[in-house]
Amino acid sequence: MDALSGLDPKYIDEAACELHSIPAAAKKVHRFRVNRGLIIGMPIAAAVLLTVMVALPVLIRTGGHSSTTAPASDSAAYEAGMSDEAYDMESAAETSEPEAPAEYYEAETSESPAVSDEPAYQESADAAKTEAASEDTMAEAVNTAASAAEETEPAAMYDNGILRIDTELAPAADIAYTEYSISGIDENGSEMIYSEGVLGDIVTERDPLTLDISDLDLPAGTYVLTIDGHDIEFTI
Amino acid sequence: MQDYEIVDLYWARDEGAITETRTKYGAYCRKIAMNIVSNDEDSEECLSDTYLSAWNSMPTERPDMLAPYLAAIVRNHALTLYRKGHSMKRGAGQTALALDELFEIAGSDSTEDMVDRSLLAGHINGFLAGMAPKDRIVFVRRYFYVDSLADIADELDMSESAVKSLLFRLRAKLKDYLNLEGYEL
Repeated sequence: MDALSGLDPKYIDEAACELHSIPAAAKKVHRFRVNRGLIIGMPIAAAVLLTVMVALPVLIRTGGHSSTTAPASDSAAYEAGMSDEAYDMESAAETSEPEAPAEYYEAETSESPAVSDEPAYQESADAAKTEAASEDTMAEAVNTAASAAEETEPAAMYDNGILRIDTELAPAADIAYTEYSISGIDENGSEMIYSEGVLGDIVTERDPLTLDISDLDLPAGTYVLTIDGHDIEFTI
Repeated sequence: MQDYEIVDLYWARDEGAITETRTKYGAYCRKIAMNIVSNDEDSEECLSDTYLSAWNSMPTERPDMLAPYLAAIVRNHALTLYRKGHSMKRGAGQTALALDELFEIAGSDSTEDMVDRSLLAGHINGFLAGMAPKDRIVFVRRYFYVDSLADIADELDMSESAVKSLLFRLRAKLKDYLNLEGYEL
């Protein structure tokens, strides 16, 4: 079949890229793609940087924790007039595990408890509490970062008019006749339906489920694709 | 030189018309021929046939735009050569691929049953008239110029997968359009 032999000359000429500069529509798409890439990429880069800036100091602080608490205990023990044995133990604690304060406490209790020793114990206990709190903070920060990473894992990926859906979310029924809708919030803050119909109109691949919505020419923003009652959010 | 001036040379039976045509549109015609036959020898043969056809058709014909006029001629010559040779050399797969993509809309036998090709061409033009310019360019580049998906993507600054999906949708729309026009596909 070569019915295209009778193609209208103006369409042949329009597509003659060798003779003309790149069409204005393509240039605009190129510029728009570059700008859109920056709009999408910069917030993501900022979020990653922020996560690193929060988690890294916590990790560093945890790694040098034993050395930060020991000197305080060490000076307190000296001021309280501890025995040499306890003092030696405390000096060793500068590079030992966090159990050092407990050992110090045991050594302290073996001596005659003096009123002047109590501030040293109290400070050691406070140091232990601070350490525990720091560990909790670090764990919380790590959990937050992990959950944030999970939350940002997209269920649908949009790229240049093509939308790829996480296979697990794809409808099990015959997708050709499965109804869909794409909605979003317009500039006035109102919910707007940008497209609706059956998936057969826009599907290009079934596994993974790939939809071509380039016709909609959607502006940057967050949209909801509803398939079979399931909402799938995607961002342009 | 403007197209109408070159056409005037043809009408004046001035052999300078061929020289001017080769200068202005030689590379353009060669690219179309190469897309289809994919070797230098055959594409040169197509070009020679094209200039001869243009010389024989003008006068009587006076095209407004010389580029599409020559494009249609060189394409026909290249397709004839391709079908004659059924060559499986480099690039020939691209021709088969592009034609088969469009062929699948017509079906295996109904192609032969299409009585009036000019009527079909008119319908296809009507279909193209309703398309966005970018979509139309992609369609024409693929099925008239027989460009590869990679070349189209590179030319129009799109990804190959975007071109592929766009063509998938356009073929589906063309099929629906022709069904509405009474073709059983």
